[in-house]
Amino acid sequence: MTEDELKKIWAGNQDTVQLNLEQLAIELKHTMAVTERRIRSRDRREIAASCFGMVGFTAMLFYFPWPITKVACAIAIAWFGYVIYRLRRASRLREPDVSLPMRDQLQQRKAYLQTQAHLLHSALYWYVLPPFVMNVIFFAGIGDPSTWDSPVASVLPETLGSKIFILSCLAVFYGYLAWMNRKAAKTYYPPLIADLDRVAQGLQEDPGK
Amino acid sequence: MSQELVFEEVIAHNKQSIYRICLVYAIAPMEPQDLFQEVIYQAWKSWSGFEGRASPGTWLYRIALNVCMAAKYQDSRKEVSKLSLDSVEFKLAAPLPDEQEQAKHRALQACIASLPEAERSLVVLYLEDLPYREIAQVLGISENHVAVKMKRIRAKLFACITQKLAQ
Repeated sequence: MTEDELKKIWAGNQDTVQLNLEQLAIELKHTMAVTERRIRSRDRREIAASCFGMVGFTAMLFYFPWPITKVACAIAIAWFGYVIYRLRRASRLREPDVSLPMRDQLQQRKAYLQTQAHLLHSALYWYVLPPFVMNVIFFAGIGDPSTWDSPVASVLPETLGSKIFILSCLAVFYGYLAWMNRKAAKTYYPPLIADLDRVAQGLQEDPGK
Repeated sequence: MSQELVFEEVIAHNKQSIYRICLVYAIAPMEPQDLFQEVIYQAWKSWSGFEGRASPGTWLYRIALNVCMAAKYQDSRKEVSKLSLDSVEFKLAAPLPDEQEQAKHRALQACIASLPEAERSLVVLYLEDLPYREIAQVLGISENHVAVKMKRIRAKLFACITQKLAQ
């Protein structure tokens, strides 16, 4: 078999693609606008949730009478602020540029996946531990609700036992969150990164040849 | 000519080649038609950044290969919505009437699929009749390296096809 024959077999696929060029540009512009709008609204939703948390804890900071719970509220406000910062930074992380030469694109994609994996792996320290610590301080700081003349006082835990019970439930919840994130970071990304390395290796110059 | 018209012309001129590349890289649940539409969309998104350092065709091949390869690295934990462009229509051809031609076609597809990913990307560009200089531009490696690699891959491909057709 000759090279020309090979190329002829390759080109022999009879499937056809028909394009309505007049409509194509309109449709692409529309798709791009919709996609961008969806991304912007997702970013806005995430940030709005954190802002809502900040406002809520600011109100609690002034409302609750106990100094230690006020400290917990201040920590929560700072943490929500930090989450907004992390989300904004993550949204700036662009998908790899597909118009780059393949070798450069593979490197960029690897860096992108590594960053995603790191984000999940480090979730324990920035997404799980701070609110848990805040909750511990918050519940530890609650004094005797019966001395506080507020409708909120009736829903607050009174005894040490009830505080420990609530914190134990929260510990299980936050532990599960941390475990899920770490599991995803350890099992999902490494095989993809190894695969990218293998493809990039295949494009390397062979030493000594 | 407006940039939009140039884009449309580049796509219209290369559509069959791009589709053939998508056929090689499509892995279920991603269909070649889905990949093709994603290539067109990504090309459109990148078009404003096209500086003309490579020919538009080479630039499009680069996007096609990168998008096809990237499909398997997409974060499957995130919801990925497939594009559905009404302006793109696919007509799947009936199987080739000549049984021998069919066998050759199947053998070639199987042999390409058996190659490691990096070699596969070289082979599809070679089969699309791109000169080594352009293949080098698409992949980001030297022309000399393309020549060295192609010599080996070609031999592998011929051996594979000969063996498959002899079976």
